[in-house]
Amino acid sequence: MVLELEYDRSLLGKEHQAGPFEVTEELVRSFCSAIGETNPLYTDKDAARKAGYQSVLAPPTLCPIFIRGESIPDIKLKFGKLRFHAGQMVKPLAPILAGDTLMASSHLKEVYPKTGRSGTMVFIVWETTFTNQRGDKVAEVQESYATRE
Amino acid sequence: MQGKLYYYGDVELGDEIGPLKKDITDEAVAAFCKVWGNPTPNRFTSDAEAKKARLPGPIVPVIMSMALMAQLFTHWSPNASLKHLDLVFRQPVTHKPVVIAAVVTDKREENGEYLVECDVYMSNEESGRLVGGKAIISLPNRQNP
Repeated sequence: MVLELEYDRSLLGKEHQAGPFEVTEELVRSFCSAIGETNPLYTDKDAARKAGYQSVLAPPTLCPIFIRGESIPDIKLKFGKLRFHAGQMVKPLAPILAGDTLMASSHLKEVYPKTGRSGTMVFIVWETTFTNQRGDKVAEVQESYATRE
Repeated sequence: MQGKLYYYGDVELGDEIGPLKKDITDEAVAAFCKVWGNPTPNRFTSDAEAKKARLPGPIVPVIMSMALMAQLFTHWSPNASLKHLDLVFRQPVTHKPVVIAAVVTDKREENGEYLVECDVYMSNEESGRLVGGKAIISLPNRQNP
């Protein structure tokens, strides 16, 4: 039997803009401190400059911290009670440096059911592209949320 | 820098990367929530909030687990550049020590880049494998700098 999913289909492919997000040295430092990152390219401006960068680099998984409720609205899915974050993808496309300003553009990519041993779950997939102040694409992020009955 | 410098020619299919051991503390998760702008207490920092969400205890945010897993590669070889990291979360990651490791499954040249593809996972002693996925990193090539 095919599961007919009820949700706000008008969100499919529709871009939602969020930002600007300032990538400050302080933000990079705090992020590194929380995860125990000690790579000098992320923590030491002189080391980053020696490597040819104007400022410290942001770790490659920094961007997802900017994705919040305002950039990915509720799709009003009528299925399940329990929702959890099931998957996460990041594709860094260009260096992000302290001092950069990022914008995010997110869209609902797909919603699909999957049935396994524990029953049926519905997956909601959002895709976000980050661009910097020059309009360069710097990262793509995909987030999957699963809902189960 | 943490690790030695690896080049494309140094890596073979089946090679293991890591393990990287990380002790995930309550303080580190609280600090991450602050950076993220997620108000506390929440299911990541509070036992009561976690129980409300039917979780066994406070968990580690998915994006924090991802950041820890990406470190496997930057710690292993400072000249490795992460190109793609795609993770599936099989179980909640709780505030306990974890082991992160990877196995090389493919290598190829693509658009002038020397890419190494890996299966990557995070596990802990109590629950086994918590997170699995694929990573692609690029490495410099001594033969074609």
